[in-house]
Amino acid sequence: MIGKEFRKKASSRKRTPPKAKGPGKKAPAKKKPPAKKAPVKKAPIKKAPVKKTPVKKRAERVSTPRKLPPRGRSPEVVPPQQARFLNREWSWLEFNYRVLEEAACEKNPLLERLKFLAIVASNLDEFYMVRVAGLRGQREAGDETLSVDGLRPSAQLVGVARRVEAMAEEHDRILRKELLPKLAKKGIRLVSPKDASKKDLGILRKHFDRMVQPILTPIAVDPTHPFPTLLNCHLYLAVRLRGQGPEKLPTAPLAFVEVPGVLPRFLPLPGEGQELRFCPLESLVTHFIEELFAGYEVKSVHPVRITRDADLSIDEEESVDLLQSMRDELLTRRRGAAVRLEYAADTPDSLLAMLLDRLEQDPMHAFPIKGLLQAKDLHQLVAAVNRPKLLDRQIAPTLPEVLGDSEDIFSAIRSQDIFLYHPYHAFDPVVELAARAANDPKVLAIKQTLYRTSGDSPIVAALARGARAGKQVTVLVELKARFDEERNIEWAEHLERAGCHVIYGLLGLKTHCKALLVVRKEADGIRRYVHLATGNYNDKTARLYTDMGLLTCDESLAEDVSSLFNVITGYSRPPRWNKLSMAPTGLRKRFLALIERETQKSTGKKPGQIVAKMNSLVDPDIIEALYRASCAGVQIDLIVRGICCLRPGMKKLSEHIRVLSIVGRYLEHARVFWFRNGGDPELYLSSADWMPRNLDRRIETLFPIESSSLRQEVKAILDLQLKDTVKARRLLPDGFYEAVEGKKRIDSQVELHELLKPSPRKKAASKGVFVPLEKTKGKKKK
Amino acid sequence: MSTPKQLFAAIDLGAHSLRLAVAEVSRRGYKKLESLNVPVDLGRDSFAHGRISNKALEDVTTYLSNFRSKLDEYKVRRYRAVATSAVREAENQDLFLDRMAKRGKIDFEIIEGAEEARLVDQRLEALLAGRLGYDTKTCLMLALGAGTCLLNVRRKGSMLLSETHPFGTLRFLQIARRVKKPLDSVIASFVERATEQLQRVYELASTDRFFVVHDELPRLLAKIARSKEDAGVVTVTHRNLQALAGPEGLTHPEELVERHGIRFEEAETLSVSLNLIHAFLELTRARSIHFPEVTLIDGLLYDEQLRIAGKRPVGWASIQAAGAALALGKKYNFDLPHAEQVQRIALQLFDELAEFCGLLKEDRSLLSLAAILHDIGVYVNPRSHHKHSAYLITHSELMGLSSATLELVAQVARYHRRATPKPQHQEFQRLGREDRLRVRKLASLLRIADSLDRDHGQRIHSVRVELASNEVAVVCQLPPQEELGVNEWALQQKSDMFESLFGVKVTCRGEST
Repeated sequence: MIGKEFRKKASSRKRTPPKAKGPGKKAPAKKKPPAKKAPVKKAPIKKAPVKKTPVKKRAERVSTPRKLPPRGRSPEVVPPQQARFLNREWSWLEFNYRVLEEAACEKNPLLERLKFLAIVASNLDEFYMVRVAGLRGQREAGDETLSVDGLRPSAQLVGVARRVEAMAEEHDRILRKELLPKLAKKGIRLVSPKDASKKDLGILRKHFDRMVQPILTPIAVDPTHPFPTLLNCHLYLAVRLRGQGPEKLPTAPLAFVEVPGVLPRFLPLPGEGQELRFCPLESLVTHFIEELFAGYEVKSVHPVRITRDADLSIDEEESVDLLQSMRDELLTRRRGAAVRLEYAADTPDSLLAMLLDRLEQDPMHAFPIKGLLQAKDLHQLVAAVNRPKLLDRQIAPTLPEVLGDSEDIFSAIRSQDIFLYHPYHAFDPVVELAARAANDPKVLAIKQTLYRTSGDSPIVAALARGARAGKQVTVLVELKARFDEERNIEWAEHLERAGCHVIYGLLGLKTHCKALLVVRKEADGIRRYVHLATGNYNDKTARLYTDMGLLTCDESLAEDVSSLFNVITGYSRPPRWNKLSMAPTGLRKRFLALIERETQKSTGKKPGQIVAKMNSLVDPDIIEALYRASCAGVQIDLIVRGICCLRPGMKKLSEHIRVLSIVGRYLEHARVFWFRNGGDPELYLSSADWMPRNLDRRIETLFPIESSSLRQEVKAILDLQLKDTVKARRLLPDGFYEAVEGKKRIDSQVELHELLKPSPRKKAASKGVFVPLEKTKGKKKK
Repeated sequence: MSTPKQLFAAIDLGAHSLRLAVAEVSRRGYKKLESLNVPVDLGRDSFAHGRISNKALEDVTTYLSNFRSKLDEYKVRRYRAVATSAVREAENQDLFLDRMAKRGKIDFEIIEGAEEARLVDQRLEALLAGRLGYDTKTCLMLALGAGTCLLNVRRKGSMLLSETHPFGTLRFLQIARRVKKPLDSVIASFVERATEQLQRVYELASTDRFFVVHDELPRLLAKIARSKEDAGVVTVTHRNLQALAGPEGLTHPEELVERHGIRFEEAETLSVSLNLIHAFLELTRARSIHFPEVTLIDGLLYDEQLRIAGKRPVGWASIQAAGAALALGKKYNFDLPHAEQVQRIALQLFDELAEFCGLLKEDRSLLSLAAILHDIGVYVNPRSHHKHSAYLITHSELMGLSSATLELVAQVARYHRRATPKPQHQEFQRLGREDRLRVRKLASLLRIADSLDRDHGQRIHSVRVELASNEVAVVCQLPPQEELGVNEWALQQKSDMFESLFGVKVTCRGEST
C-alpha cells in the first residue's frame, strides 16, 4: 500500500468561472451533474450504470479547463443550514475531488494526470478502509451520535456515497475518454488479447503459461463451499460457468480467480519505434481463462474488487510484544467487513445481486466501473512508460545560502539557524547532519524519530553506522504509522542489529513529531544540534511533500528536544519546556492560548491577524476559538490542504476567516502558524494538524522560529501561497470549493522555486565547500 | 578563554520522585543539559511501614538503569547521588543501597536533613542575594518535602536557627487517613507543636519574609494562581493563595482538580501545602509568600560549582552553622556572653597554635561550635553538665553538619572539663583514631579558653601565644587595672590535657592594654 508515497503532482490550470455563488445556501446551481440517478438507499441492486458522460454544453466545456462538471447541491450533500461545522468525511472527499481536478486539468502533463488518477484511487481505498468502515461500524452498532455538524452516521454515508459516485464516474470517464485516447496519440496503448496480432498472442501465451497460470487459483462457489473470503483490495475475476459435455458436471455456476497482485499489472508488448503497448493482466487472464475450467463453459468474466474494514486496533495493554502483535494484526487486516464493491459495468444483475447479498455489501457503496478497476496500479503504468516529456519538468532543489559558505554542517548551524523548505530546498542537509554525526568522533549521541521513511534511507544507514561506531544511538520507530507498518518493522530490526537503542513509542500514543538530535562534545563544552520538522525523515517523499524544517543549536530549544526524547523513551515525565510545546500534554492549550491572545490584542484600529497552514483542520475547540477570534475582528487566513471542518464566511461566526486549499504537483504538508501578536509577530512550525488525534492522541511538537529574518522568509512564503490563483481553491460556506480569481497567474508551487533561490551575487561568492558527505566519500577514494 | 567546564550529574531520590540532572559545571556557574524526573513511590512504604517494598525497589532500579545510560551517553564521570528521608527511614536501606549500586550501577549516599538544608540554603542564598530582603530582613524558610520539612530562620543574612521536622506532604496525608481526621486539623496540631519550640528562641511574628521551597509548587502556582514571577522566584500574595482554595477555605484535592484542572497527585500536594503554608503564615507578619525555584538538584549542582571554584566551605564552618548553634544555645538558655568569650579566645588560640598542634583548617569550625555550645548542658543540670552538653548536641541538628561531625562537636564539648578521655568512655572510643586525636587536641584548647573566662566576666580582650621550646605562654590582654585573678588558677587546673598531649607547660600572664 504505497498510496501515501505519491500523491500530488501537477502544474497549471486556468481560473474556473465562479459557480455556486453565495454562501451556505444550497444554491440550486445547475441541475445537471451526476447525470445518472443515484440509487435509492434501499434499492437492492443498482441498475448497471448509465454510461453517457455528463452532458455538457460545448461552450461551457471550452471555458472550463478544469474539465469537471459542476456538481449539484442536493440536500443530501450540503450541510444543515445551522451547522457550525462542515462534515469531516465530506470535506475529505472534496479534497480528493480537487486531486481529481488535477487529473482533469489539461495543463498538466499526461503521465502526471495519470498519476493523479492513481492517487485518487488509492486515497479512496484508504478512505473506505478506515473512515467509511468507521461510519458503517457506528451505524451498525446503532450508535446514533451526531457528528459535529449534526449528522447521523447514515446521513453522512449517503453524502459520502453521492460524492464517491460522482467521483468514480468522473474518474472512469477521464481515464477512458481523455487520457487513454491522448496516450494513444502519443503511441502509448493498452491492448487486449482479443485484438492482438498472432505474434503478440504468442508472447502473451508464453507469459501466461510461464508466469501467470502457475499462480492462479480458481475458487469455486457452490452449495458445498462457503462463499470465499475475497481479500481486501485485491482484484478478482468473477467467472460465470456452465456445466458442459456428456457427464454434465454439477452446479458450480460461479468461480473467482484472483488477478495476481504480485505480477506487474501491465505487461509490455514489443512496439514499433516510439510505440509502447501494454496488455493489462486481467485481460490476459480473461483471455485464457477457459483453460482453468476444463469441463465447463465460461459464460462471462467480470472483474470485481472489494474494500474491507481495515482499521487497526491493537490492545497495547494486552500485548507484551508490540512488534509481534503488529505482525499478527497485519495478517488479519485482510479480513473485516466489506465496505465497498467495485465491479465491471457489464456485470449482470443476477451476479451483482448475489455479490451484494453474500458480501453483505451496502448497495449504495457499490460502484460500476467501465475502465480499469484498481486504478492505483496506474502508478505502474507511469513507471513503465518512462517518458520524462510527459512528466512535470523537475526543478532542481537549492541549498540555503549559509550552507554554501560553511565548512561543514556543524559550523553552518553554529553560525545561524537554518530554515529548510523541501522540496524547494534539498533534503541533503538533513541527511548530511545524520551522516556527519555518525562519522564524527566528537559526537556522543544521536537521537531520532522515524515515522515513515524510505526503503534504502540514507538516514537509517547513518544511524546504524553511528551505532556501530560506538555512539549512543536512540531511535524511536513508530510502528503505528498507518499502512506503513511492514516497512517500519524492517527498519526496527535492522537498527537493533546494528546496536541502536530502538524504542517503539509510548503506550497508546503515536509518535508523530519529527526530531533529530546530535549531542557533540566540542572544545568549549557540550553542544547539541537539532533538526525539527513538519515532515517525515524520508528523502524520497521530501521531493514530493512540501515540508519545513529548522536546523539549530539554540541551547534552550536543544534542551527541550533532549527532554522530548526523554519523554518519548520513557526516561522522564514531561519537564517544563523552554520553547517547545508538546502534545498531548500542552499543545492544545498552547494553540488555544495563542489564538486567545490574538483575540485579546485585536482592536478596531489594529485588528489581529492569524495565518495558519496545515493539512487538516478538524478540532472543534480550535475552530470555536477561531470563530471567537473572527468575531473579535481578527483577520484569519487558513491554508488547509485537506479536510476543513471550519465553516468560513458565515455571518456573525466566521466573517473574517478565509480558507484556501492548494493542491498541485507537490503535496502541501507543512504546518505553519503565524500570529500578528500586536505587531510583534510570532511564528511556529509544528508536526501537528489541528485535529483531535494530533492534539490528544499523538506525540507532537510545536516550535518557534525566532530569527526575525527566517520569520520573514517563512511569512513571505505564506503570503505568496495566499496569492496563488492557479492551484488554490477557496472554501465556500457550503463545503464546496471554487477556483480563485486573480489578475495575475500565480502558481505558488512553481514560484516558490524562484523565491527560495539563493541570490545570484551570493551564489557566485560562495565557496561552495558544503558538499554532502556521501559525495565527498566517493571523491576521497580516488 | 572560557572557563573550563566539567560534566557533572546530580541524582536525587526522594519520596515521590527520582530526578537526574546532567550539567556542565564551571566555577562561574552551571548549565543543565538534561533534567529527568520520574515518579517513584518510596514514601508510601517507608513512612508507613518503615521499609521499602520490593515493587518500589524494582521500579527504582529500572529507572536508574535508564539514568545510568544517560550518564554513559554524556560520558559523565562525576556524579553525586543522594537519597533523602524515604530511604533514610527505611530499615532495609542497606539492602536498597546495595541493590542500587549493583543493579542500577549508581552509588547513593543517604544525606541527613541538615545536609539537605545546607545544600538548599546555599543555593538559595546565591539566588536571592540582594533580593527580597533576604540579606536584610528576618526570613522564615520552609523547605517542604514529602517526608521531612526544613525550617530555617535568618536575620539580616545570618542563620538564626535551622531545624528538621519529621513531617511532610505525604506523611500528613498518611496520618490524616490513618487517624481519620480532617487534614487541616492534623496539620494545625503539628504546626502548633513545631512552633511552640520555635517560639522559645524566636518570635515568629517578627518574620518579614516567608519563603517556601518545594520541587513542584513554583511551577504549579505559576500555572494556576495569580502570581508574579521574577528571576526564578514565584511570588503569591496571601489573598491570591487563599483564592486558590476557594471561598469555603481550605479545600479537598478533588475540588482543586475540578477548579484548576490539575492532576490529582498535584492537587493532594497542593492541598497539604496550602494548609501548612497557611498555618505558618498566620503566625508571621509576611503578606506574601515567595516560592524560589530551588530544588535539591540545584543545590547539588551549585555545591559542585563551589567545589570547583574552591569555595565550598570545608566542613561547613560558615556563619550558618554558627548561627544555628547560637539558636540552639539560646534554646537551652545559655550564658551567651560567656559562650562568645570562650569561642573568641578558643579561636585565637587555634589560630596561633594550629600548626604547633597539627590541626587542620576545617577543625577550626568544630572548635568554634563546641565553644559556643560547651555549656548548654547546664540547662539540664550544672552537675556533669559537660555530659549533658554532649548529649544535647548529639541529638540536635545544626544545619549542614552530618551526624558524624555533630558527634565530634559533642565530644569536644564533652571534654571541656573534668575527666580526660578514658577507655570506658564509649562514645569517645567509637570514634576513629584520627577523630579521637582531633577531639583530644581541640578539647585541650577549649579547656584553656574556658578557664580563661572562668569567672564569666569577659575581662580578657584577646590573647596571643608565646611559644618556647617547652612552654606555651598565653598572654592575655586586659583592661587597665584588671587582673587575671581566678582565671589564672583555673588555667592551671585545666591545662593538664594540653600539657600531657603536647608535652609542654602552659602558663599565662596578664597584660594591660
